[in-house]
Amino acid sequence: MDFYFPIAEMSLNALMLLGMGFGVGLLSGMFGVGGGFLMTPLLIFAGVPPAVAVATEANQVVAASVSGVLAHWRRGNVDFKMGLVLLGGGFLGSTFGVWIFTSLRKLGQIDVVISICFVTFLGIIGLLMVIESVNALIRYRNPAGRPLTKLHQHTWMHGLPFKMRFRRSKLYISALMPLGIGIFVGILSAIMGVGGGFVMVPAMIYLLGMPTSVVIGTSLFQIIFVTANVTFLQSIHNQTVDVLLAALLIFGSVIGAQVGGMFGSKLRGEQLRALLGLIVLGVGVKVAWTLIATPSELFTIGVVGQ
Amino acid sequence: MIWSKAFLAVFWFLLGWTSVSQSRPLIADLSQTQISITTSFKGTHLLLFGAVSEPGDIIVVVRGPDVPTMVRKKKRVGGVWVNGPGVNFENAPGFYRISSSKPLPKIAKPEILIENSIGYRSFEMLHQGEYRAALIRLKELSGLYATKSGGVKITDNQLFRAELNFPSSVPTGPYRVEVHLFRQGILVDTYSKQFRVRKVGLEEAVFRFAHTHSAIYGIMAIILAVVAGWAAGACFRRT
Repeated sequence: MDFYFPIAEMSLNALMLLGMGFGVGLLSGMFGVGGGFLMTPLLIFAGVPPAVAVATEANQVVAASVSGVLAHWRRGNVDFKMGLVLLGGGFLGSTFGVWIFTSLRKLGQIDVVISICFVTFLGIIGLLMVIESVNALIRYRNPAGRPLTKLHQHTWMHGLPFKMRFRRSKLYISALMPLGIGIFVGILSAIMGVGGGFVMVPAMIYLLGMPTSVVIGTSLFQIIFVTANVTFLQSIHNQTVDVLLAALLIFGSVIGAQVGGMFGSKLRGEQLRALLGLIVLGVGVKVAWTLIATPSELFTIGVVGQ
Repeated sequence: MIWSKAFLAVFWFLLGWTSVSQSRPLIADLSQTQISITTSFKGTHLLLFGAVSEPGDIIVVVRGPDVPTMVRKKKRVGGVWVNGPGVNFENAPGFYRISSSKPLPKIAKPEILIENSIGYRSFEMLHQGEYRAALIRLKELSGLYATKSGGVKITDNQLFRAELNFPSSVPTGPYRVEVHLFRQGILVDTYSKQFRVRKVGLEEAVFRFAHTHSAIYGIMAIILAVVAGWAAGACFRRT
């Protein structure tokens, strides 16, 4: 079952695309990541021009996130107040990120920066998550040796002004913290062309101290708006969003996201974090390998302007 | 194939026509003057057929619209493979395929081939060397470039036919097919015909809408995504 896609200007197997959509949707429902960090490389590997892959993927993530956020919203696992503050930062950050992207492209260094960003963030975050959650699982097995801790550690960050109460997250912290995280992740998502969930989720857990159950729904809520913005901007500036390609990916991913949401609620927080950590680490290792290993073909061709 | 018999009938007609008129040493035609890209497009082929008044060698050149192409070479910087500076080929044809009745060197001298825009060496490219070689190699891998000898079949020393193949990634735009007749290494006649590769129906509508109404297109893409996500969520709640 092959389809010709008008913007990608090539034909691809429909069943393969539905399968890819389902797999990535499963991840977004389980972990609250958009899945762009997996889908974009997969699409490029399938032969889709990179510019079309990045833009179309943003459109697909909108659908997967809407589908995923509904499941979490029903269980009351979305902190809308926190989501809006993160979003405010996200818009500021992504605007700044697009400016950085344009400057780096003028210098001809954008590819290197993207790859290095991927390796660095995927590697560090994956490793931290695996270590932390394995420790948590060990503590869980030996409850006798479990030290009594506060709800979260108090650091210098808790001395910042503009304190706000986030009821769902059971937090009373400075609004500057989520705003700052939103800006930082916004910059990254503009440069790397991803929703940023894989950076946002750990930042919310480890920096803000939000409960894991609320983190996923809130991250998805925020990703909807960031990726909708990317879809719109890409359509206007580059005409690289392929709606037919997106439609097939969306069909697979919205179903995947629902199934993933059901799985996610059955797994414990530590297990969920360990699993996401391993996936993130795996992709990081893969990107690192392509950077380090001697390629079989030294040359690449691309259409000028894409 | 059934329709190849139909074309055979056309051949005989053409042959009759040539022997009567003798106006040109070479006549030819294409089975279609347009390649339509539909939703189920998986690549296609056109049949080129024709007749010559006296025996000779045939070279068929199909050239598509120019697609400015950037060729980059990876290099190692601090243990990491990164894209080095690229070379921009402004005049690289998006599609270029040669079929011939014999290997090209056996038909005519290289200078004569280049003079008549036949072969990769006739490309007007400022950059030579490895970047140019890489461009041709990668385009050949994707089926967009080829120099296939033996693609032209001559029967009875007068009729010839060639199947011209196009992969699904064929660029859209105007194409030109040139049929050259050589005898003893000298060009006797050239026949040329144009055809178009274009998107039709849904493919054309989506592509045009994306370019003429970009903002509405973007908003519709977002609405589509939100509705699809919402619908899936609603369906699963019921089950």
